[in-house]
Amino acid sequence: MRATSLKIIIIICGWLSVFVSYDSLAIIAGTSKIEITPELGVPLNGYGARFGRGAISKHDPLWAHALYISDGETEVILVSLDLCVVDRTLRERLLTLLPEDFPKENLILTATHTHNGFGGMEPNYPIRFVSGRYIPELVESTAKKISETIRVARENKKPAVIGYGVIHQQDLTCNRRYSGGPFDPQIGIIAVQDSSGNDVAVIANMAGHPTSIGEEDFYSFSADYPGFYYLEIETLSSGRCVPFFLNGAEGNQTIQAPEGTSGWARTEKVGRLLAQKVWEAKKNLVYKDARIKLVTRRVQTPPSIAEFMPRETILQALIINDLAISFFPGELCVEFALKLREHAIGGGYNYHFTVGLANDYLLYFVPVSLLFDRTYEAGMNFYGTQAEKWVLKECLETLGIHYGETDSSGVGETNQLSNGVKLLKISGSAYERGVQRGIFTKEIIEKRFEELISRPVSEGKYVPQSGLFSFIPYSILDASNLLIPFIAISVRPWAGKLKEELRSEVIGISDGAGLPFDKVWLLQNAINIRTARDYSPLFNTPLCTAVGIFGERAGASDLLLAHTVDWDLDELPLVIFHSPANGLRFLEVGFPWFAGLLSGMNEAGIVVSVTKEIKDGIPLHEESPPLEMTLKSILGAVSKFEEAQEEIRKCKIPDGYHILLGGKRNDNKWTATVFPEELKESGQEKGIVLGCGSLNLASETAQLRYTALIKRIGEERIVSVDELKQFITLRVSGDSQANIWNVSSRFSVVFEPNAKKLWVAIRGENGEPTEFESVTIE
Amino acid sequence: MSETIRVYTRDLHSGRKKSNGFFGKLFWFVVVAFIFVSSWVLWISKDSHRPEEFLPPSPNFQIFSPNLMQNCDVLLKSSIWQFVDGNVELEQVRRFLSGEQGIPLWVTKHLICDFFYLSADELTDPKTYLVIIKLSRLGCVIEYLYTLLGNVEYDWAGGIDLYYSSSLGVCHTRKGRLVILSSSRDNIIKVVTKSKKEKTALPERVSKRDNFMGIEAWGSMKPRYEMNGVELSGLKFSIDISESEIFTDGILDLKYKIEEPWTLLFGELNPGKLRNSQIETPFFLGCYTNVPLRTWINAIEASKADLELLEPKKGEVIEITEVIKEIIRVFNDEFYISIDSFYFDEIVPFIPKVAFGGSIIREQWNLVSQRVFNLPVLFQGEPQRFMSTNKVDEYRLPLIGSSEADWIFSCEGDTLVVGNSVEVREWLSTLLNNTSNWETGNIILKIKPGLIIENVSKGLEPLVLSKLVRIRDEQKFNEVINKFKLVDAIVLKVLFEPNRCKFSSRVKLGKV
Repeated sequence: MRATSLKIIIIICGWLSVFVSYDSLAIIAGTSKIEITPELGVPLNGYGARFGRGAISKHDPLWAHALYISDGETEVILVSLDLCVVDRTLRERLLTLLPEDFPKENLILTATHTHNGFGGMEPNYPIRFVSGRYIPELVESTAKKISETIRVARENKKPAVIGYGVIHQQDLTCNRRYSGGPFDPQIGIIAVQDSSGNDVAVIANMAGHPTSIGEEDFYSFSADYPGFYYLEIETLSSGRCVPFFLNGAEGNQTIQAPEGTSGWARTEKVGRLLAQKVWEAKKNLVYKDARIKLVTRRVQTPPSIAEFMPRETILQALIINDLAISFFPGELCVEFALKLREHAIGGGYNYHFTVGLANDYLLYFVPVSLLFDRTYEAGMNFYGTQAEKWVLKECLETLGIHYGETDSSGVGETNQLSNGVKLLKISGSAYERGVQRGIFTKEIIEKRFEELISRPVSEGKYVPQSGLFSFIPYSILDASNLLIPFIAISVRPWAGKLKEELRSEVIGISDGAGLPFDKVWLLQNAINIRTARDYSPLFNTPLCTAVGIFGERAGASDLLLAHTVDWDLDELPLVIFHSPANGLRFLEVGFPWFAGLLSGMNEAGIVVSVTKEIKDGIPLHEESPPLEMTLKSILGAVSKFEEAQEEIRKCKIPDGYHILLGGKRNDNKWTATVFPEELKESGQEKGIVLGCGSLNLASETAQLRYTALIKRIGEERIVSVDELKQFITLRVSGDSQANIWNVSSRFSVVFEPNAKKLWVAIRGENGEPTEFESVTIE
Repeated sequence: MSETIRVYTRDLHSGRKKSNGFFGKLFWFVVVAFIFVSSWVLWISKDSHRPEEFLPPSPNFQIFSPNLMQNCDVLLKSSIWQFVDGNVELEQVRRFLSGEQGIPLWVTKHLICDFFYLSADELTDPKTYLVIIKLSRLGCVIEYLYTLLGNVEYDWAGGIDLYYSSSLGVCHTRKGRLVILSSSRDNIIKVVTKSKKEKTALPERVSKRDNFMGIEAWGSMKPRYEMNGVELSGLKFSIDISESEIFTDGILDLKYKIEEPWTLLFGELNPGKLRNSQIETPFFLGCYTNVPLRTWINAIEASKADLELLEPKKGEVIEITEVIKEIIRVFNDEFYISIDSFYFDEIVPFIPKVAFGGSIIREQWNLVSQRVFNLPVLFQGEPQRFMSTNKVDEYRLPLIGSSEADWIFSCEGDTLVVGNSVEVREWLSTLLNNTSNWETGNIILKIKPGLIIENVSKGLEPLVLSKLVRIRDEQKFNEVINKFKLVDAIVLKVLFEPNRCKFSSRVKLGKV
């Protein structure tokens, strides 16, 4: 009897324990789905080549899948839409339709990124150029459908458990830009079951562009491979659960062609294979209690050269126990997902998923390493180099993980010489020196950008003579907001041809100045753009004068070089003393906003000066960064004359450019030469090299100047530093351009390489050169 | 004392006699003075000369108005002044007409009574101007007093009696009630000393509007303008201005100097039946070309070697420009174009709603439809395809924008309508099928600038809101918009006859 009673008690307890164990489950969940396919004729979204045309057929339906989940404290609604992107107008309308008792910041809205979804919901440009005609009624009807499915999901809620995990694949996705390039093999899985063990929701997260549909169905509505994923999951679950697809960091990812399939067969194969892998893996998941946390942050976007890009956006992170999911409002390249995962796992999470195209659309985000490639993804990024750090910092911060190196760049040391010349001493890595320079020159960069880029562009200069842009009435409309980003994107890849050091310096300048990289880089190219053949063939470029004196004529100095820089804008030079962490220390004299080299000398006595006389303009189609930028890397790296010669020979020197090079040869003799001719002497006097190369081929004005210079130098058997200072600031007659120091002259510099010293004079208030002051590389 | 009865009788009239003396004299003085002054006024304001005596023979430009000042209030109320706001010279004219320029309006009305004439040999050179005005009788008095008391120099000029005002820089003389003015003394002498045989008639009036309440003027001009071998050798015109409308009619004489194929066609151009639209769209153009359009294109092409050949390139794809050329080939001798605003919500906000159509040569259409509509069309580098619709002889070509904006090519009988808007196509189709509303002519052009500029402004809105473009100077921009809005409608009709062309236009002004 006692045994029987005991058995009964045990059975009852066991039976009760089931309820107890279910009562202790933290979450309730509900799902729903609704078809959102609009009528035919509504424009499709995803390809500009559709020219905003409407759908002419429906291949398969487009869905909104909604998951409601709550742990009793936090409730979240996750909606996955078969759309290309989540339009702001749609989200904003949907928020107004949510139940009043639901916290609006807890809505997560994602798009699968199918390029055969519908557009028509974006009133603003430039997105509307791709998403087609704006249809307010469509926004309304779609929002209402989504809100309806959310309502049903909420109503369907019941006690549930969650299981999650990851599997890996090698046959479904790949890098779409570079064969064998990085891809994300991870498939993230989340499965929700009810108390009876029935599947409620199966969520797959994988990074791969749904752009597999061919030309024959270019104008058909379709969910692409996610649509087949849904079908397969529903088949496998006998229709009991709602499938979800969350696209990952798909920016540079696409799907493979499993088993050699193509066309629709490929689309279907990928979708169904994904579902089968997920379904199989789901069996091994551990379902358990869950604590849910959702972090929603409104953040400022990184600096952008494009005024039309949004200035703030939404970042979200959903944390389910030890799983962290980052929801990002754009198309991330896979490199970001891999880095985020690394940091998230390092920060204590066991699993990390990245979901792109969530809540907003900020176009593409490309890591710095890929930013200068001329690819579609790089071209669709308007946030430049600052985007990389911003993505990592903000996404990880949303996860509660601190990211970011302490900025050890510091601030450069500034002095003023007695003649008014400013001296900036910067040190550290190229990036750090750039930051220091950027902090110091921020205002002048802004000012010069306005003068050299913004204003001419708004007036219609730098615009192709034919094509759409030639029809804009520039006297009435200022289209610089549209044109400048396009020009910047075209010019950005030129930075890819710079040496890493110099590129890092420019990045540092933009970070130090707090300005978009594209703005700073575009400004560095302003000199070339202004004198481009297409835009201003009659542009009268001021003419610089430079000379090198060596051998006997230089006397004890061994080598002297001098350069007077003419420039049509009224500005003062900056002398910058570089102390790189690795490399030779050097001085450069130039304009604050221009990071390229006009004139400089390193501690080994290598001197480089650039002069130019542009007659017909330069061709921009060469796609090269300015020569001055390329030459700068020589000063930090090269100590011997012959080495410098080799480096300069590798450069493409545009017509009208000359490079004066001086230094100590391997045999320890000081010498000078001028490129591209590589003349050792002027041909008229020994020991003199002219900055114009061959005098016979120079322009009339150059001949006048240099003839006067040669005459004065030729009168001296030995030229001293003080004499050279006089000669390089020579005025022969009135205000004539034949004067070496003339109305366009901004500064003169004399180099004494063997003393590691330079002398600089600037244009005084009366237009005359000031006294020369020295700066030494100590 | 004498008891003689003395009867003292007072002379009752003696006081009255005294008063009759002063006022009577005054009265008679006034009467005499009045008679004298009146006679004098009548004398000096004798209408002793006719204007034809002083009109210059065949000036390059002349214009005449019989009611410039009588109806000047009509002109002053017109919106045209807002349109030319900012023009200094025209502002001076307005001030003069309104009496704000120092001369009271009532004086001006007496100076320019019912005759105003202006001629010039060179419109850009005021020294060649000659003005003849007719004074009222009071005007003659004013003129007389002006020559007497004003700051003028007298110049006998062989009996012509010229007066020169250095402040105005103008000479004048008066003959009867006519005053002849010019800044050139010689001009006046020339016309005054004309012999009677050289009498010149006033320019002919080209048209007359019954019961017109406004300023009427007419004149002639020798344009001395040549364009591509066609010389505009003479122009007669009339201008009627009311408060809200400006009518212009004219006859242009044409001379064909070069015998090019297209000038020969031009010379043979005759008016034909043109359908006139009743629906007001921002832009409508109807043309009657006398011969099929293709003939014109071929003629122009023959004249200019650098034009592209009209023959389509045979290949597997066709460019959109080739499609347009093919379609032009099918039209007969009349075609129409109508544009009705833009699609504002489309992928770009400036897709115009256009339809064009007309009568066609059926055989040409059959050839074209067989060849063209089966080929893919290259548009912006992307191939697009013609699609059949449910109707026979109707094709759809999606190019840019949603299906509403697809181009439909619809042939019914001997008419073809092509367009990217249902409404505009239907409207044009109705026009082409309407056999009752005809006009004789060669060109009908109707523009509604106010509506056009409103549409342009609306089209800019999404680009501005998206921060893609910015309006440089909003105030100036709005000023320009408002000026365009002042012009409600412009209608121009042109009719060609051998060696001449008749035109009439109507500009309807609005108020802003």
